[in-house]
Amino acid sequence: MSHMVKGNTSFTEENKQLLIEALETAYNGSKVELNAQANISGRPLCDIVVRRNNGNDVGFRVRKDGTYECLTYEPGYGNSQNRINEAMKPVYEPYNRAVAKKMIKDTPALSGWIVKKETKEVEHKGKKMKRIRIQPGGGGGWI
Amino acid sequence: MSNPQYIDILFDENTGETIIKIEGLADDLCDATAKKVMKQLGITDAKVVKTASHEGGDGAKRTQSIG
Repeated sequence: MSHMVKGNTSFTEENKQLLIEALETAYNGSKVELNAQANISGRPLCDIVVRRNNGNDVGFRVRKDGTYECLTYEPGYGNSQNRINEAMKPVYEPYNRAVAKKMIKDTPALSGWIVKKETKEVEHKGKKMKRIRIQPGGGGGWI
Repeated sequence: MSNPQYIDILFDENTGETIIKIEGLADDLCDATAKKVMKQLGITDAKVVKTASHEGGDGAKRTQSIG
């Protein structure tokens, strides 16, 4: 049975603009609207809505703790958080990359540091993860 | 031998789980950076693991894993 599902994310309101840009990158060609109703069951009012090309909107609402909850459409009987994770999969990399750049910009002690262009696949405690590395500019990364 | 300096953001794109690893920063900068990264990435329930800590002007290094 299709229905609306919602789940937590770690995206923060403080990084709203970075999230919007990451969503535009992740869902290339989709329109991102602010303070709009999402085309999901119940048409919930959301702070951010991605009008995805497949017709299934993704909405974000700020929670009290400053993080966004995500709302989307579940076409079957799937688990809410799994559906949210699936929808967010393409967003993590551009979002984390943007946050890394912002952190460098906002931290005088990291002046001259860079975010490496490539995202590497690494293994951490037996788990496959992706890695974005921040290091001193000039290619060395050594002191 | 010099110490490497880097901040790694490790993430599981299937779940959003995020781990931060900070290597080679001076103690005070390491702490401040760890706090800033956690805040920026919305990590509220992080566990901070100090895998090495040295103080003094001996080319010291320090590593923190947050996840």
